[in-house]
Amino acid sequence: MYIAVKGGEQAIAASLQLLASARRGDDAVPELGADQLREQLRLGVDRVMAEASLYDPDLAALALKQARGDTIEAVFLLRAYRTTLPRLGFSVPVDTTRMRVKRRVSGIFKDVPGGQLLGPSFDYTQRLLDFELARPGVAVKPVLRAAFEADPNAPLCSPIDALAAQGLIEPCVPSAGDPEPPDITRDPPAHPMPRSARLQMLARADEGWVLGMGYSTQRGYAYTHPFAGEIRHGAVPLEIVPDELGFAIEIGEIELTDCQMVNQFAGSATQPPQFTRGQGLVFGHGERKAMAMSLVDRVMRADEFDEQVTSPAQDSEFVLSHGDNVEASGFVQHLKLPHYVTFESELQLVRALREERLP
Amino acid sequence: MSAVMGQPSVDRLATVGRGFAQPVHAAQQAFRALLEAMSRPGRVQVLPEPVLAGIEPPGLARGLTALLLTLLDAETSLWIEPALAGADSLDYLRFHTGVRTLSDAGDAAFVVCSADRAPPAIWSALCAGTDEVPQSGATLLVEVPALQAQATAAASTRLRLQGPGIENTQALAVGGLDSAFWRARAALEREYPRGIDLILCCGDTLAAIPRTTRVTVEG
Repeated sequence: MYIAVKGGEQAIAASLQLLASARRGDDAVPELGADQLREQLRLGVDRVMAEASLYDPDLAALALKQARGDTIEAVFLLRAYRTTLPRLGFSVPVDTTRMRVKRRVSGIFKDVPGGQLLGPSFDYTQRLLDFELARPGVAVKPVLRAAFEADPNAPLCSPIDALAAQGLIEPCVPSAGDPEPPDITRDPPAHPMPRSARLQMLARADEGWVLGMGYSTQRGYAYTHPFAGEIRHGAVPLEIVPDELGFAIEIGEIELTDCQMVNQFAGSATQPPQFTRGQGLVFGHGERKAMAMSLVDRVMRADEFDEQVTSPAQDSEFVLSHGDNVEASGFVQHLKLPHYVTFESELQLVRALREERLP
Repeated sequence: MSAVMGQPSVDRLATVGRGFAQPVHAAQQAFRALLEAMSRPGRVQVLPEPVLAGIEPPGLARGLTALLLTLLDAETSLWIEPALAGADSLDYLRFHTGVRTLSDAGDAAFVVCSADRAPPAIWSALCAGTDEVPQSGATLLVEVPALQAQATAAASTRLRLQGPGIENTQALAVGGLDSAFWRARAALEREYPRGIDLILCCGDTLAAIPRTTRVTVEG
């Protein structure tokens, strides 16, 4: 990341003042509170949390306000703050089967056990601009939540589990030996990465990049033939095991979106054919990102299924190295910094070459 | 990755001794002394009294304990020589720092032993990092019976140190570690940037011999 700027102290101070003024905009319009962003632009807040890999809706909203709504700048701010935090403990792995579900849909069975819980979604809107929203103070009709939310005491089972139990879909089991996963925020990247590291990279990769890569797999660059096995969004309990207790206690909840994609089946001379899966898991409510991530995860498993690597999305080093929008933004934008000396040397070279060629 | 040793129980935690009296200030001062020691290899540093005040280490020297409280946290791993540290010491370090204690020294980021149990072979048993990731090389902390700029005790080995952080040469006399130990250390120098950083502790004093330092035994 290139963030150092030198020189022009007064001009820089004036630029910072202009930034503050531009952030505020017309002061005849009431100022936005970070709490308003958190409540009313929540999907933007969720995206900042996901790509910064820090779950804190208040700070993500603040970052979004400070960044004037620039998602990638807000991710940078929150990612930078994240690096200052001590690690107080390590949770046990979250279990999305214990999710307090707000929305759960499956694209493979209509009558999925527990039902299709539509929850809040743009999917059933007509994408027409709602001019009513331009008028302040429009009352929102209360919803009978009890009728449209899953029973919090009864975990919602996944339709995939039953098929996995019959061997029709590959089981979801830890890698051989259940090795401790690498930590992409601590260990330098070494390609090829194990799937556990790839999933970490994808979970905080830029949504637009992952979406484009996932889309490319559907358009024929790698073949996956995907079905949305299950998409669920809601709150999962976060648990730690304190030494002095020796058993897990719940310390809070985080909201996640989990996508299990069911893909093209694979079989061999020794193994009967079964469907395979790709997984996507992101902070907050991010169905598009989770689905795209699950498509990319699946095509990156080419080595497990003896598939040929022919397409960009299968090239994990290419996809993962360029998906981090903090790194990408920094390297692209560092070109704005002074390159006076480098350019001057090239200018002299071009002048000299032209003098040789021109009469 | 070797197995993580047992975690303390509620009963054992009730008897854990006190750590730093002023955790932030003491850790900063101890880190400063350690930074000075690493930047000027072989110069003996003294841990200030406020760092050591109030520490109740079970079985380990106060100075060594202060360094461990400074260096370790939940993201570090430790191997400590079994004869040097009982369950009390492990509970103490786990409680105050959250460190994971491993059963195999070769996997640990920090390794602690006493001078009489530091064989020359320890240099090849520890992680020296790789050419790609040399920073993963271990840090070895040894509690020695004598540590001075000039040898006064006959049992001390006189070393001549050269390298970054030393203008010409630096003399250091270390007790309890024989010349075979230092020859094994010198053999590791050609592996640079791979290597193992050494911190010597003696009571409230310490000196460091980082991997960049060339060590010659003078007798």
